Amino acid sequence: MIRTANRSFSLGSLVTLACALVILIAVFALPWLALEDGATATAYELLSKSLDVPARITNTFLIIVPLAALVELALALWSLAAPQQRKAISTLALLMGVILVGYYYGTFLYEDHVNARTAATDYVRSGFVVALIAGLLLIVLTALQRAALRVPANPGTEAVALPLPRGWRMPFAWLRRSVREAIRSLQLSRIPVLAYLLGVVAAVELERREGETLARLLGFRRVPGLFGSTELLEPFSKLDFSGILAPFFPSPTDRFDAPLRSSWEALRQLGEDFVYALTSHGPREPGFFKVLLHVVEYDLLIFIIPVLIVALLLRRPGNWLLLRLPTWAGLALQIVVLYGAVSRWGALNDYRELVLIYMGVNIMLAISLNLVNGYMGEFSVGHAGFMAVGAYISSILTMWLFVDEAVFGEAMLSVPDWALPIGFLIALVAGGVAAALAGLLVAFPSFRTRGDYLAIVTLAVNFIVTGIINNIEAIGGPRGLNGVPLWTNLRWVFLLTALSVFAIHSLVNSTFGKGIVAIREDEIAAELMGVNTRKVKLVAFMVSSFIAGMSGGLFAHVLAYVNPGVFGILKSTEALVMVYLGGMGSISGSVIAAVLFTILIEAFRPLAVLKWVVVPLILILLMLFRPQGLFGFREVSLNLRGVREEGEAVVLKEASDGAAAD
Amino acid sequence: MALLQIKNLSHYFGGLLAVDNLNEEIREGELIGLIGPNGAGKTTVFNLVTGVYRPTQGDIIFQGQSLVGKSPHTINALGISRTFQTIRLWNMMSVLDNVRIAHHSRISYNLAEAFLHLPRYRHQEREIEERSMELLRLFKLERYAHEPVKNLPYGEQRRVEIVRALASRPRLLLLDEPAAGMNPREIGALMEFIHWIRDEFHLTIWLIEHQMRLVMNICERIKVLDFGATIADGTPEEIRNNPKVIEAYLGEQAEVH
Amino acid sequence: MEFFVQQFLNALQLGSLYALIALGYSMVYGVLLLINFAHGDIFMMGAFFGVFGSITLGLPFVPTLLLSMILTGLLGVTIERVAYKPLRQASRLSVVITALGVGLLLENGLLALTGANPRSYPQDLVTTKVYDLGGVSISNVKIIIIVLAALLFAGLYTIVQRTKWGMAMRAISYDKFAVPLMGVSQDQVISLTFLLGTSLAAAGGILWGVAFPVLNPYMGLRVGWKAFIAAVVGGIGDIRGAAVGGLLLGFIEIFVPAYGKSIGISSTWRDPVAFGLLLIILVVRPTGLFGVARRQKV
Repeated sequence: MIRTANRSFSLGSLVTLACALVILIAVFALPWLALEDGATATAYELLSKSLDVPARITNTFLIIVPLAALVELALALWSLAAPQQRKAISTLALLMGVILVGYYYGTFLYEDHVNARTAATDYVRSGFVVALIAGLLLIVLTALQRAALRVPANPGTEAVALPLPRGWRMPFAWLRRSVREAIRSLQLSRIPVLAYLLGVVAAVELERREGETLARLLGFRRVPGLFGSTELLEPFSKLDFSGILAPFFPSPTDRFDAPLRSSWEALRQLGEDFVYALTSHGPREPGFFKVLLHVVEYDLLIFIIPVLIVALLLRRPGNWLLLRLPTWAGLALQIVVLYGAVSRWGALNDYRELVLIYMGVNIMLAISLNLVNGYMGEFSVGHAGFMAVGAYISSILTMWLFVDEAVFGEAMLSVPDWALPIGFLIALVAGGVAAALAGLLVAFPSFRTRGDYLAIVTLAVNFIVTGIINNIEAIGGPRGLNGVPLWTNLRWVFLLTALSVFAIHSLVNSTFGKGIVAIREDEIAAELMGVNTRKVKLVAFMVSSFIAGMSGGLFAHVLAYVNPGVFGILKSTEALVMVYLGGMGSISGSVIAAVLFTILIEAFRPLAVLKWVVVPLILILLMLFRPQGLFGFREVSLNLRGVREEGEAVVLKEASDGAAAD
Repeated sequence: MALLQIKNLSHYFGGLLAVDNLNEEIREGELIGLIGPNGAGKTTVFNLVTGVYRPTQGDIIFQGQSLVGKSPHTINALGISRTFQTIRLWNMMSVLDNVRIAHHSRISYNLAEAFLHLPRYRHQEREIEERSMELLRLFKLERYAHEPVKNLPYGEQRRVEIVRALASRPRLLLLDEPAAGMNPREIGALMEFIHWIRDEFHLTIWLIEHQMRLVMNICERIKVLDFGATIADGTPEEIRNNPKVIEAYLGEQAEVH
Repeated sequence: MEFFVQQFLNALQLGSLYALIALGYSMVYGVLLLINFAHGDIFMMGAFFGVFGSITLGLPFVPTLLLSMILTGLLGVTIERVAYKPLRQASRLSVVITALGVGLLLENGLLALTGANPRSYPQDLVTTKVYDLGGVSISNVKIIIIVLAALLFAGLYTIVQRTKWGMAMRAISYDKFAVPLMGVSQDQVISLTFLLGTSLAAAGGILWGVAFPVLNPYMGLRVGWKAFIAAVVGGIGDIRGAAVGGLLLGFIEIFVPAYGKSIGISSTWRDPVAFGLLLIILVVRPTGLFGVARRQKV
């Protein structure tokens, strides 16, 4: 039915054509906007003339409809054209679209948007409504077609449940197909990581140059910190949920006469606030939709498009270079470029650097826990305990030995400034070693117990560690340790994170380390086949807690203040969430999950306590619908070493293939 | 001197006597069998020899060393390897990894060398990988090398288990019901296969089996257990005609050819 | 001597509360082999339903207790149906993690929906009276808690040991495929288990609120983990074990600081010492006091 091979000019095409014509007329001839001087403007005028920023949501939507209509028109004609001409037409249509969008953004960016004359008073309904109805009709046609397709039709009999005429053509099918074809033809997986990284470097440079201008134009107060994710939920920050159930569970100071009514009142207020937060109220108070649009625009223009362009351009040179470099040199080059990209990105403001540091700490935490929970198949629920040991030991050492502060008094050693980083490193390693020794508390019981019972042991160790710290007055007890030097910076975190990832990767890919996985799969068989399971467990627990301890040390030296409450069950749960989000037994999964999780936590910061409602909700949904996590037991395949290019350019597949697959 | 010597071996599970005063002497290069009805304690004997359980009484001496109290991986390193009644491969891992891990007792690099990819680490890893691939080629399993072992058909999994057992370079191989779940034709092939691995790898083989045809055809000497106690010991010919053995097997309807 | 009796009663009180919560952990584990990490928060919900009953509805003590037990029981069954049941075929780990998520969801959801003010029961819910018996002062609250906990445990024990449903509960932990053959629906047994376990936790929550009158959404976190450890020490899956483990934990927590003062152990050392002792018990007896080691077949 949707074979494109011999399509006739059918009723379906006729309706589509009619819609397209109506939209075009509406866009070019009917009035859309009433201007202050009594004149009106058509949509075309709105698009071609300079614009003011608040009117742009509508306009961005509007550009899509006439464009689509234009291409639909072209397609309706196309169905009459000879097959060999079709590809040319679709390419032409796509090109026109690209040029129009480019022109639109060009005018937007560089014309004098300040003295825009379009001080709009009101939208005139006529043109907009007509275009909207025709556009909706097209969408409905699309939906109808999809529904018809879902009916399991016998290939021999074309008649299906929905009474659609023969030769009915799905509107916008070409768009989906072309997008898919285009993505396939880009061969994104063949692009070496190096090219992507260089793309990121380019994007970051672009942001340093143009980011501020664009951010201002889009109505952000400053350059979006984390790809706009923190701005996204800002409109909801005023929502107050606490009134909903408070009347039923009153505290001694509360007075509620009619709990049901005050609860309903709170709910209604919340609903109102929610709707208010969705929509915009002037440039100072943008609503969620508007922010979303701006965030998408910002990310596309500053990051996604430049990265893709650079990556595509550098695909061949990148592969060429990587194939000729020795493996280690290629890897080193990529790590250097990665560091360059990350540090340039983070250098824009302190907030970004802080988030990057948290990311590094979380990555170390997640991969170290994954070694035990994912690779060895144990269920450690007290990982934060080891982090606490590392944090406290390293903080005590740096404070006691190298700095003058209130808790331990003057520095024990007078070290020249240039040597302080070495001291810091020694303190971090000492913290890691102490954590590894604490890991023995779990490792020894693990020789005799497994599963749930070992889970309790890890939990108990977490409680014991925080409990002991709580009781040592010399290090502040429950009040915590104040005055930890702020020595953690991006360079340290990057270095140690990269080393940790490399170490765990080396470990689990060595024959010795594969013994860890053998323990997960069948411990008795492992022991009988010559795996010294005790030694392997000891190594796994100690390496895991060593890295957790180092991450704790880094964490303490960025917070400047540690207290035992930070390293409670909640922190352990965070580590668990990252591991199971990324997938057990997957280093790349854990790394990606740690990055995503850090951004997520930052994004939900405006929602205060709701953050901790959303995180467990994600965890539950993940377990219900994708229990293996994002990358359970497999790694993301990255093109790190370059791939050989075929001798010729990529051949586009016949368009009809894509249609048949629809 | 005997390769493996078992002296007055007894083992209790709680109050249950699982192995009762077992004596055995296995010489280099022998291929011998251990049979008996279900629950006779055959697998327990293997578990005692490989160190899964510590015997209540008696001694097990392998190449002049007592194995009692040694951990299973040490015993494996000394040169005893085994397969299992039900397949116990590491299912999520590839066939190659399964064989690689069995080289664990030969690893002498330390953690630092592994983290830094130092020469000794690289050398040993390459050696292990090459030897594993060689073994897989020898057993015509190389095309599965990177396949997760759980995706293999049952018969192939059995072969992988034997390859894994051979990877640790044993001198004594214990096979626990190698013919379980096989049809008569496959059993014929298995008999040739067992002979072949013994000659190829210069092994001593001790096997538990229910399939009388296999045991009677390939074993040079057979021991029969019932309720943990030895009820017969001798050549296949002697066992076939032993009335005690026939009595023990009556309920089992075993075909004693 | 007076001091000892005093501390003994305190320990009994705290231990009974831990035991009531530990029972729920143990029962669910016995039936589903699931560590229901949300159980501590269900205990907290029980205490909060008590606020609803006693303040919002103005009920006296016993109706409040019953109402809270019923509401919490229904909540427990709902959680099982919505979050755990779809995962019955999945790996055990995903259920455990789901339980962890449900717990966080309950405590933070409640915090978001009710605000951060601490709650407490009205003074006259249980009017405190202190009796003086030969130098030992005994409050009626302690007596009520200890007696009620003992009664509830006895009731549960009778149900589990004597009734058909209790037998099904015990059977299901041995062989979950055989139970449907006995004409008992597996789902119903599981629901009943959750109903009983969570309503006991609710009773524990209310009694806790009477004894230590500050309630907040995070109160279940610490208590829940501790009760869980008590259940494991007793041998998780065995209800006698849960009771013994709970009492043991109560005694450790009270007596360690009470008699440790002379050797420099203050009351803040309670947690580390209690957990340390439990760790030692687990290392010596890896399957808990009443747990039976299952030999793995080779």
